[in-house]
Order: sequence, then C-alpha cells, then structure tokens
Amino acid sequence: MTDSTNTPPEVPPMPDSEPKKVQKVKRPPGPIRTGVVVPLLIIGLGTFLYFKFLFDANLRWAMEFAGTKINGAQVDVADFHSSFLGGGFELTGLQVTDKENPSTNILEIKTIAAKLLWDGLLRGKFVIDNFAIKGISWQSPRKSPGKVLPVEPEKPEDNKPSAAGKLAGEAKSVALEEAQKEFKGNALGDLAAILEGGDTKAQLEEIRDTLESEKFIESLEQELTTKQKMWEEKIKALPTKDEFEQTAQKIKETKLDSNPLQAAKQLKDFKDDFNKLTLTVKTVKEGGKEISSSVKMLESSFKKIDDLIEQDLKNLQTRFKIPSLDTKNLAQGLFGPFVLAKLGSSKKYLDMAREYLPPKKTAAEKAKDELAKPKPRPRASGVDYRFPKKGAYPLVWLKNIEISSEAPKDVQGGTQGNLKGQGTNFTTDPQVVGKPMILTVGGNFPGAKIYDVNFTASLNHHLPTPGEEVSLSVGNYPIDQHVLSKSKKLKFGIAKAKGVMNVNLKHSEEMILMSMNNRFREVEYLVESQNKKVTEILSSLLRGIPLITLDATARGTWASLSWDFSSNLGDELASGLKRELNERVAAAKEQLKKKLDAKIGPKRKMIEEKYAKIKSKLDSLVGEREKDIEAAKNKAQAALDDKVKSNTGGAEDKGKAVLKGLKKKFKL
Amino acid sequence: MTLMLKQIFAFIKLLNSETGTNQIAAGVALGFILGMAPGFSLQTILVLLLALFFRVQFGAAGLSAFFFKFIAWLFDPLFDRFGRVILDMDSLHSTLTWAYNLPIVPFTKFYNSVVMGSGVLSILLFPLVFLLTRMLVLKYRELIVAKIKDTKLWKALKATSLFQWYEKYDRLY
Repeated sequence: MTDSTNTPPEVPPMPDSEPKKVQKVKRPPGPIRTGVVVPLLIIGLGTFLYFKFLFDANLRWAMEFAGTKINGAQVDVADFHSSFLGGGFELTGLQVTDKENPSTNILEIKTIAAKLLWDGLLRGKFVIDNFAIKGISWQSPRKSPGKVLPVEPEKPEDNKPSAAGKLAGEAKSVALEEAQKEFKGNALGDLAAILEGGDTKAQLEEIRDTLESEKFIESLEQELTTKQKMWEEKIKALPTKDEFEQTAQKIKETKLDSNPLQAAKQLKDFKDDFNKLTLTVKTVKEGGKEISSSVKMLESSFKKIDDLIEQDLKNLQTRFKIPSLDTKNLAQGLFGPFVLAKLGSSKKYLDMAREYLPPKKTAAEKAKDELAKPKPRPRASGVDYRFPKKGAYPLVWLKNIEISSEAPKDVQGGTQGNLKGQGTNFTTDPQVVGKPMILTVGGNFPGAKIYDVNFTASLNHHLPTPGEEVSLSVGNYPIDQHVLSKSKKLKFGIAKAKGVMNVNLKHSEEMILMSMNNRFREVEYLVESQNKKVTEILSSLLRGIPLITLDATARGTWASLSWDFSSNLGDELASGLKRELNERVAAAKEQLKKKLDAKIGPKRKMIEEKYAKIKSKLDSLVGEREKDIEAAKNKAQAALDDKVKSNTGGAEDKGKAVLKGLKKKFKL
Repeated sequence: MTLMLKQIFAFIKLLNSETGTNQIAAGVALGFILGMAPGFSLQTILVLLLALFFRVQFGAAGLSAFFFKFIAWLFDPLFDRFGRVILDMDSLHSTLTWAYNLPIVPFTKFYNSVVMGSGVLSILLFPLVFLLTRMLVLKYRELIVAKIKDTKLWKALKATSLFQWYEKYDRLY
C-alpha cells in the first residue's frame, strides 16, 4: 500500500561505454490498488476455514463454559452445528447438572434447532422460520456425575430480588391478597363449632367493646341535654301574660273623656295596644310550634338506633363466627384458595407476556398513523426515524416454535411428561406481523397420572385493543389430600379423587374474565374432628355426594375482582347442615341478640325515657304559656269590649235623652 | 499502530515529493467523509473499501478522518437539522420506506437525522474538499518545499553519507 504511493524509482544513468541493455521501464501505477486483492483473499479464506472447522467447536466450548459458570454445575453440549449459508444451528444433547444432586440433570434437551431467514438478517432482523426444542426432560439420570463448582460467598447486592422475582412479587396484587384473606380456608371450622353445640357459651363471650349503637345513644344523650337547655331558654324568652294584664288593667282604670271625640281617640289607642299584644300571642304560638318540631326531629334519631343495633348484631355474628349457611359463601370459602392459586400464577405470566411481547400502545387510528408517518425517536445525538410497513419483518420473529418432551417409560411421580407443543408468530412487534401469537401444548404426565392436558394461549397484541386468551383443560388428574377447610375443630377436605378441569381466562384492557369448571369424581373425603358427633354428621352427609362440581368465575380488574362460586358440595353441605344447624345457629343468634339487648337495652330505655320526659315537660311549658297568654288576652279583650260598650252605650243614652227633650219641646 | 505510523510517514514523504497530488487530495476528501460520519455504519466500511481499492493515500485519509472527527461535533446541530429536512420530506417518504425495508440498506443508518445530514453534506462537499486540498498541496510544494530545498542546510544534509545511504535504501526497498 505504502510503496504504491511513492514516486516511481528513478533510473540511474548508465555509462556510454557499457553495452546498452533493454531496460524495463516501470509504468506508473494505475488508480486501482491491485496488490490488495491477494491479502484480502487470504483473510477471507482464513475466515472461511475458521468458521468451517473451528467455530462450532469453539462456540460449543464457550456455551459449556458460560453455562457451567451460570448454573454452578457442569453443563454439557454433545454437539453444535451451525450453517452460515443456511442461517441456522442445531444443538444436541444439552445436559444441565443438578448441583444439589450431580448424578441427575436438572434439565435435559435432546435437540434445539433454529433456522433464521437470511432475508431478515440482511435487514438486521431476526426472523426464525422454525425453532424446535425437542426431547425436554427433567431430573433425568446422568451417565456420570456432573462437576459442581465450589460455592462462592454471596455478595451483598446478590440479595436483591431478581427481575423475575420482582415481577412475581408484584403479581400478588392487593386485590388478590384481600381475596386470600377473605377465602381463609376455614369455611367449615365455625360450622363445626356450632355443630358441636357444647361451647357456644364460650364462643359468645361477653360483649366488652363499645358498640356503634351504644356510642350513638351516648352522643344522643349529650345532644338531648344540650337541646333541653336551649329549648327551655327559648320558652323563657317568649312573651308572658303580664303585658296583657297590665293592658287590661290600664283599660279598666282609664276613664273615658266626656268629649266623644277624645273618648273615640282613647278607644282607638286601646285597640292599637291590644292589636300589638295579639301579635305577641302569635309569636308565642309560633315559638311553641318551633320547639315542638325540633323535639320531634330527634325522634328520627331514635329510629337510627334500631338500624345500628341491627348492624352491630351482624358484626357480632361475624366476630363470634356464627356461620352463614349461604351456599355461595360456603363454596367460596371451600374452594376460594384453590381457584386463587391458579389465578395468581396466571397473572404473573400475563404480565410477562405484556412486558416482553408488547401490545399496541395506542388506539387504532394512532397505529395507522404510526405506520403511515415516520415517528422520530429521540436519542443522544440525532433522531432515528422509522419507516415501517405492514408485512415487513419485526426485530425478532419466531414464526414457528416446536416443543416436545418425553418422559421415561418407568417414570413415577415428578413433572416429566410426554408433551408436544407449537407456537406461532412470537414477535417483539406484533402490530407489524399482524397476527396473534399462539401457543398450544398438549400431552400427558404419566408419572403424575395427569392425562389429556391441553393448553392454549392466544396473545392478541396485534389488535387495536390488545388482549390475551388462555385456556387449559385437563382430562384426568389425581387429587391427594387436598384440605378445603382447616381449623382446630375440624379438618375437612378431599382425601382422594379424580378431577377434570377446564379453565378459560380472557384479559383485555385490564378487564379479566376467568371461568373454571371442575368435576371431582370417585371422591373420598377427609373428615377429621375431635368431636365424634361432628365426624358422624359430616360423614353421613358426604356419603351422598360422590361427585363434586366446582364452577368459579372472576370478573373485573386486577384491583377489583368480583368472584362467583358455585359448587354442589356447598349446596349439599348447606342443605344437609341446615337441618342440623338451623336451630343451633338461630339459638346462637338469639343468645347474641339477648346479650346485645342486655348491653344496649337499659341505655336505650334511659334515653327514651329522658326524651319522653323532656318532651312532656316542654309540651307542658309551651301549653301553659299559650294557655296563660290566651287567658290574659281574653281578659284584655273583655276589658276593651266593656270600655267600647260603655262609651257607645252613654252616647246612645245621651242621644236618646236629647231626642226625647226635643220631642217634648216641639210636642211631637 | 506501526501500520498507521508507516502510512503517516509515507504521507509526509509524498507531500514533500512532486507526485501523488491527486492521491493526497482524494485521501483527505475520503477522510473528510469518514470524520464527519457519527459512529460506525455501513457507509464507513464502503468508504474504507474505496480507500483500499483505489490508489488513495491512506495516511492522508487517516489523518484527515482523525482531524475531522474532532471538529465534527460542532456541525452536529446543522447535520441534525439538514437530516430532518430530508427525512421529513413527503416526496421522499415512499423512497425512504422502500429503502428502510430493503436488505442491507438499513445498516447504513440513513434513518438517523445526523447520519443522513452528515452523509449527504459530506458527499456534496467531497469534490470541493478534493479540489481545495489539491490546490493547497500544490501551493505548499511551490512555496514551502521548493524554498526549503534551496536552503544551504538542506543541500548540506543531502550531501551527507547518511542521507545518501537513506536514499539508496529507499530506492531499493
């Protein structure tokens, strides 16, 4: 390279005496550097030979080394073969040693093969036409024990939860925790306590706490005392009869003037005074009415006492565990934890699907715009524009996934199964692919005696409204020792049964709809109680229930789920126990009511009496005041009437006398 | 490093000779494109291959790239604005979408505003840089190298046996 750019070497002058030789004149080099071709060819050949003969072996070693470091125990890869032109690889015989038990593999995979499309790779996209993981098995024996690396002391930061752990922790939402508390797995314990009948007295202990109704009565009493004073002061402030009596006295004592005009004026003044007093009477009556209505208003507060007592009774029933024989509640109490465990785990996986296989974040119109227009994405320097189009490749696209696992023929227990599964269109950009991501897995777990398992998950993240649909059906699975209710008094559950299950879950826009249908047949029950009577009653009841159905639905958001349970076990138990328990439950309730009445009754009586006393006192005071003032008014009225009469009567007589005198004078 | 130093010495030697003007100018112009491009992308490889296959002065290209890399950040706002103008053009949208979905082309990172701006501007300025460099090299040789060669010091140095030996070595190897 360097020489080619130098000036051509100068030809030294030859002496004339020497014979002339034909000299090759070096032509100046052309514009193309031909000398670079050979080194480039050598580099290319070397690269080809490395990838042809050494790359696979080196990568296999690197995978084993890194896998062993990560796992903490030996990881083996039997063979690795890659094809540059084919854009694929095939890994066979992956064995991951169980570091707790080095003679077994924690995971063994017979084949992992993938084929990438060159068309995608040339665009910087990873489009995997077919991805196969075949022959998965767990806890398989190793030919020779794997090497286990010495355990390094943990660093403080290693204690931090992993991403998956954090996600799982977050999955336990508040709503699910609340539901867990609600479905406390003690549905029959309280029933058993009542069924025993012996210690209901102990259960219904003295009500020591202050009840809501009690608090209300106390506040009402205080209010009554305060208002009583206020009402009395109001009554005192009302006008008295004295003013009427003074007016009447004044009318009586005042002599009318002989001058009729003056007398008429005097009478007019009296009438004005009286009219003013009449207004006072009105004021007294209105004041009385106001006080009465104010007193009556308190009567509505007394009605509230009844409501509060009712509420207190319900609360006490819950606190003293007086059970309800409502079939829905019973089914919920029995099977709630069972269903909740399944829903809790599905939330974790739905969250993971949303995180790693992101759905469309905007509405349909915005998505269309996004495809039509370039969308700038800010970065440290400059802006990256996107020019996507439908049908283009997303960054990662697993077009087809094949999964299969095989369980050893003589397997007993464990989680090894004969499974076959297929996944399609798993991608980081579902909107671009425009197809749902579907995963179906089916098979059997012969060791665990679980048969006809079918799992389908459809992640519709390509739609304007993203959603997920998951369904799981199990044709036959065994149930051993499943405790449905556990308390000191009673342990109740299924000792042995065969189950059939169908679970469907839909999740869209944070709304969840889950339905679960279970059938348990050939059921052998588990009934353990210290009390023989309880055991006998329950056992005889359960003999008539050979098949259990359990249907559960949950709907709402993760923050607020509404549950609906129905089970024939709940119905049958409720109807059977009702006969036995109704009287006892009623008695317990009655006893509780008596206790409540004993605590609240006297106070209620006292407040009612106090109210009646105050009311009667006030009524009497108002009545008397009205009566007195009415009497005084009448008196004043009479005095006024007399005065008017006397005045008008004198004038008439005088007039008559004058008329008589005139008649005599004129001899008429 | 040795290879690079060798290239730089070759460049200095060539600069002070009477030939290779176009090679130096082409090297500086290609180095200008390399220096202005942010980061490493497909067009960087293309420019390097051009420099490799054509008889371009590699040392000049390296020095030029090194120099322009240091001052390119000053023009980043201009590149960004210019790149956005191109990438936002409605008339180019279908072409850009087509190119975005072509094989290999996306590796050029043309969809980045700074890459697009710097790429287009540096290619447009390539002939100007080439001509300007060529003119400067000629002027340098005419005004500075010729004067130095006329100095007594240079003539004395050229007459030394060490220099003779060097010239011979250089001619042979």
